[in-house]
Amino acid sequence: MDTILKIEHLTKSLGKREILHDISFETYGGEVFGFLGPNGAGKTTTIKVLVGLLLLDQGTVSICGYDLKKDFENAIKNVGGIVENPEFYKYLSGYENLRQYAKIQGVGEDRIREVIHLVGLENRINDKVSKYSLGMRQRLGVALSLLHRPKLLILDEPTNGLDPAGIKELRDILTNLAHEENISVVVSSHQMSEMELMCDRVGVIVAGELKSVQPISELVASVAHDKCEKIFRVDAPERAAQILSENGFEDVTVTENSVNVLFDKASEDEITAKINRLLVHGDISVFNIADKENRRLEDVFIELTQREGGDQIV
Amino acid sequence: MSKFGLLISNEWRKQFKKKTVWVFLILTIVASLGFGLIFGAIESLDYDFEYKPSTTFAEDCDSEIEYYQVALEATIARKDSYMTEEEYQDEVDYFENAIAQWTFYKSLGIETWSDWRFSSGFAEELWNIKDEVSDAKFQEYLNGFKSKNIETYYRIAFADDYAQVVKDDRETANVWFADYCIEYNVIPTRNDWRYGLLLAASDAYASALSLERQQSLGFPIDESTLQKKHDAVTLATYRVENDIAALPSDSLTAYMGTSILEPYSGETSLFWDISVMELYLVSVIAIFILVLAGTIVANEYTSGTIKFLVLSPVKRWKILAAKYVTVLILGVMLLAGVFVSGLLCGLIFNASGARLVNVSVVNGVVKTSSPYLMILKQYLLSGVKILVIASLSFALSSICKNNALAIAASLGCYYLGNTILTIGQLFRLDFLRYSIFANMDFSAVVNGTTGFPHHTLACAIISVVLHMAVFLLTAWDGFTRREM
Repeated sequence: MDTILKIEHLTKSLGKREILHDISFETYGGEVFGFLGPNGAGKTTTIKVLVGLLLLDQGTVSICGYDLKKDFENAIKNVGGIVENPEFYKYLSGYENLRQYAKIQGVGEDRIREVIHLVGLENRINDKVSKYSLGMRQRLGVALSLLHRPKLLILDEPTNGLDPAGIKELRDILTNLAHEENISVVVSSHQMSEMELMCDRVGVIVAGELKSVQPISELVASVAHDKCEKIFRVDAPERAAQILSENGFEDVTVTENSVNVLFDKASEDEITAKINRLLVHGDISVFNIADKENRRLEDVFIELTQREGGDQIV
Repeated sequence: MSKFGLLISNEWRKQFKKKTVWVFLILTIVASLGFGLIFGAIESLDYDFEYKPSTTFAEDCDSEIEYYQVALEATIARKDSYMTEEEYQDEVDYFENAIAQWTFYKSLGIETWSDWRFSSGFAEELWNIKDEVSDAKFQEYLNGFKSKNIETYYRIAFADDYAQVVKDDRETANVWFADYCIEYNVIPTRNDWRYGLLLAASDAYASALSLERQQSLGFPIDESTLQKKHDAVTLATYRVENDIAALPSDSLTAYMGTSILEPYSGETSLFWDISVMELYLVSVIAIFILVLAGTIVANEYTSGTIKFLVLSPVKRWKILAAKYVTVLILGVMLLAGVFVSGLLCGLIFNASGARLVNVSVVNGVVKTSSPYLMILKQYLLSGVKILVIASLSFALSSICKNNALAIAASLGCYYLGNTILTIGQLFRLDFLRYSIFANMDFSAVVNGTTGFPHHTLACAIISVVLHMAVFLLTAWDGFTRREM
């Protein structure tokens, strides 16, 4: 696989605050790379640096081998992207907007028609953008980013405002672009379920630091498969939690009518039984014991970020 | 097309997809054509207007005589009411004299009131000297009057000046004027453009003589002032000798109030008058250009589309430069539009004026020049002011990302600059001479109407260049270094 984007030791401060700290990763042609992080973790800032909207303080970014700082025009030639919301000249039609960009990029009419077809905007492309819905603007944004056949496509929360059918379509478009045309697609989103379906690899960024970069399957497995969580519905959750923590259980959460306990999956049955015993001996009525289900990327993500103290916006 | 050209064509498309831009362009065209047409129509009406009295001069003389006759009879009838005999006699003499005077006028054979021999005061002069000269002499004058001899008029009108053995400057100038008018048969009436022109030139002649005399007595004088007076005389005589009634530059100097022959109110050419009047519309263009310069960058920020612009493989300064050049092109186009509609309206009302050639005298040398270039230069000079303020607007819009601020500040500077200067001068703040307000109006600097003494064009150009450099560097710095 060719390395398309290579980031090394990227550091960025805005004012006195360090937003990004020593970020390094690579993306390759033919894969969809998910960029995950809670609000304020530095996703958008990273993307802004990649597309040249922000200047980097330290480190290097190279795109298709061109250094972003030293050879901006050549580097940026290979990048297409949407940052934050897709914004257009509202008084121009969708087509005119595309044409504006196509001209600078040196792209012909055929390619404009092609990308319009790709995002399925043919019927409304001659309407003014002021009449577009957010979803249509998202599509137009994707079309615009694809105009010049970039090697690196960066989309900041591209599924915002799209209906479920639109999300599925976009997902197909993006995976298709990556796998068929060998483009490196970088997607940031907090639609975690989407990411799981769409991405090949995921980088998790928390408080300006890149925590991990790994294939999505590994990420889910790494956290989800060695731990399990049981829900004990009891009459006195507070007291139950107290008993459990006295007996060495660390990951205990209290809800209105239950305690949730997280422990190693390896000895699931024994530990469940042990907890039950402890509770019963502690004179607590246990009504129900259940698996906490749907423990997928979302939880993994929360787990990952919160464990690092990343729940605080920095 | 080069990338820069593509950027400009993009800007162009964006501007011309906006309704407001079209509305303004159409308004400008309508305003410049309409202004020219209305001005031309009003001026043409004035030119055709001529007072046509219903009575002849002789009939009017009769009614004057009748009026004094009645007054005389009334005086005689009221003789008893006068306190003294003397008082009564004075009154009777006055009326009898008046009757005699009007009878004399009637006998002169004048046909209309506008006859120059009456309007110039020739007839009155003749009446006044009636008893002072010998009969033979008077008869000679009378013959001169009847045969419309111009020399006779000047000889009588400037008799005092001719009579002086030792003449002062004014008298010498008057004699020069009278001789010159006699030589070129200049009819002493405002209807003859040469008369007003030479009259004004005689003032310049007198001033020149006075200056030269001061110089010969060892007083320091301003050489350039003296040269200007000489040039004014040279130009006036050149025009008389070559029969050049109207000069395009007369229209311009009348507009700017900078005629070198101050009291001169001779002929101007309507063709060039219209072109010059259209210069007022430059202020209207200024509004559009300043708004455009203030929004062309800031709007990209407001709408968020700046992200796509800087995401393209084009250097940021090129994007900024393309926007600046777009403003310049539109400004030049609008100026050219106003200029051309001025010429068109001029052709409609006074096509012959289009062939006039401008003549000027500089340091004693007569020069002819194209009036089109001269007017064009005025347009470009007024364009400098717009250019400077548009650059300011552009810079503000680039660093503040705020079009309202940029527009308000630049319109303020454009329209209130002179007010700021005037207030500054009240407080004797001489350093304001280095400010952009005092320097951006090149024509005011050339004409010396900025209110600062010894204000030279070179100083103005340096000041403007420095300000422009600051504005453009600010815009460049704000746009290329700004993180979005």
